[in-house]
Amino acid sequence: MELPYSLDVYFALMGDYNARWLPVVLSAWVLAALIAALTLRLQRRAAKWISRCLAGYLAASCLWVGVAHQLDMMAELNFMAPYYAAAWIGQGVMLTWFSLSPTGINLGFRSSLARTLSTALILFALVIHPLILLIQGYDWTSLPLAGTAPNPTAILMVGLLLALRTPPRLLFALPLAWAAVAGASAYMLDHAVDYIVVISIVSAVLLALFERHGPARSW
Amino acid sequence: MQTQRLIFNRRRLLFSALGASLTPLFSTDPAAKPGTLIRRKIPATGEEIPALGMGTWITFNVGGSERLRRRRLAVLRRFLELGGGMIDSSPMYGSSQEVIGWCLKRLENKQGLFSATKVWTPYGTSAESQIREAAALWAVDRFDLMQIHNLVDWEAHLQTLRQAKAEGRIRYIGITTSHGGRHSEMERIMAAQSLDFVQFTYNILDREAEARLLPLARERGLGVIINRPFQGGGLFPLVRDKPLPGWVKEFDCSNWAQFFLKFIISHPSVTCAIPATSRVAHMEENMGALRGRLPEPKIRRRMVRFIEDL
Ligand SMILES: NC(=O)c1ccc[n+]([C@@H]2O[C@H](COP(=O)([O-])OP(=O)(O)OC[C@H]3O[C@@H](n4cnc5c(N)ncnc54)[C@H](OP(=O)(O)O)[C@@H]3O)[C@@H](O)[C@H]2O)c1
Repeated sequence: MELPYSLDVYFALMGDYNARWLPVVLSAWVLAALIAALTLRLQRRAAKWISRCLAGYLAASCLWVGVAHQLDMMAELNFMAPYYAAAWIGQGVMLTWFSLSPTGINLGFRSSLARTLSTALILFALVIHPLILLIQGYDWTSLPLAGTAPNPTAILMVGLLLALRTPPRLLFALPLAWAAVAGASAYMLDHAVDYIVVISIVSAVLLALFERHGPARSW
Repeated sequence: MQTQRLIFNRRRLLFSALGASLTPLFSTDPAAKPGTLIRRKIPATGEEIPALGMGTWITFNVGGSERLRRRRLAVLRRFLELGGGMIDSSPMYGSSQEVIGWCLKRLENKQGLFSATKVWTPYGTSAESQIREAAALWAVDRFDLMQIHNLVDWEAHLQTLRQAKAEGRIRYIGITTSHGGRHSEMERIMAAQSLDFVQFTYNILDREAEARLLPLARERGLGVIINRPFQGGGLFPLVRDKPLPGWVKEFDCSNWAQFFLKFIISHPSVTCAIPATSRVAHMEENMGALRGRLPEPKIRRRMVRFIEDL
């Protein structure tokens, strides 16, 4: 099995995509960093508005990835892209609902392991993933960034979802499915860094779903 | 190879048919002298096409990037300059058809082009819209060859293709696969249906087609297009840093790409091989196989042994 495009072409088109949407790409990354910092630092106060911002931000980035990355950029390369787009848009709609609903979602790490993994995944999505690609020789202008490109966005999403007291299980379906897509791409394109994407997502999902439910810690 | 190519020169046809019947199958092919292009007849009509074409899976799927499109334009230009003919694509290949059309629009000289694409979706009714869409993307009035990709919904698609052929919107029809697992089904279709071309995989490592498909194609008078001639590029790592053996001079071979391609087009049932590349330098290497002598059966066996011993 092969993907219908090569890695070189993917990164060349990522360069065009970043250039075209530069203000969105940069502000999405900065916003992601801000929300991640607030989520990690303000846990003690567990402010409701932060969890709404978190869900709202993730909703917007899922919708963006679905429409701009998958439908607009990838659909001409890959006949599977419209299906992926539908999944990202579906996730965006669900997250929009959680950000607006009166009960919504609540912040609160369930364990120190969850906190550590969450911090590591957020750091990986925002900083380490692009750094690895830079070290591999990809041009900085073509880096896929959290908030606007699917792989780092999926990692950021599971990292942030780990910061929730009771993350809705349904929200892990897309990241898990995306881990399968990223794993298949890693294999078919011989692109080892995508295996880290798989490991990150799967470990977060396993922790979130199967960690023993102790009393919720909301500080 | 559009309308004007249909006007056959009867005398030329007669001579080439006579030549073919007197010519042993391998290296004594009159077309295979240094400098002249190796061409093969399409059994259905006797029309000749170059024995090398070009695939576009992955290599021409570059989306809207102008920079990458310009590079593919250089590849396509070199292909036609060096005597290439068939360009094979499919709606499954992402933006490849659009990129081919973009390149063709910018080429002054498209002489020799033999346009080949496919219908693909599993719904018979949409074959018609795919033919129309492909014609718009390539900017051609009609296709030289329309194939059914991977035998998908072939019964329904075949009817649509026959209708389009009768209306003069396509010149030849064919079926394709690249999976050994579908060879039996392909064989059944080849035996029972009236087709012009079949396309399947054959290369020095994957010779499954030698047993049944290649002889059957000859028996049924079908043109044979060979896909994955380099096993999707997988043949090159096998010979990395290995020098060519001295005896390849006997069939005018100067690099590994030509070794692999001459092995294929020297098979008597093969009409055309369609290697894909995204690089001009590789295109030049590949197209070198369209000239010079071809290996005789004894040398072909030696080639196989050589590769198997690696
Ligand atoms: N079912 C079907 O209908 C079907 C299935 C499979 C294929 N096909 C058709 O058959 C065509 C050929 O098959 P394919 O593309 O799968 O594989 P292929 O032609 O066997 O191999 C293509 C690979 O070989 C490399 N290559 C080409 N020339 C080279 C050279 N001189 N030196 C080193 N590497 C070279 C190319 O890389 P570079 O770009 O770096 O040169 C590319 O990665 C396809 O493009 C498609 O049109 C049809």
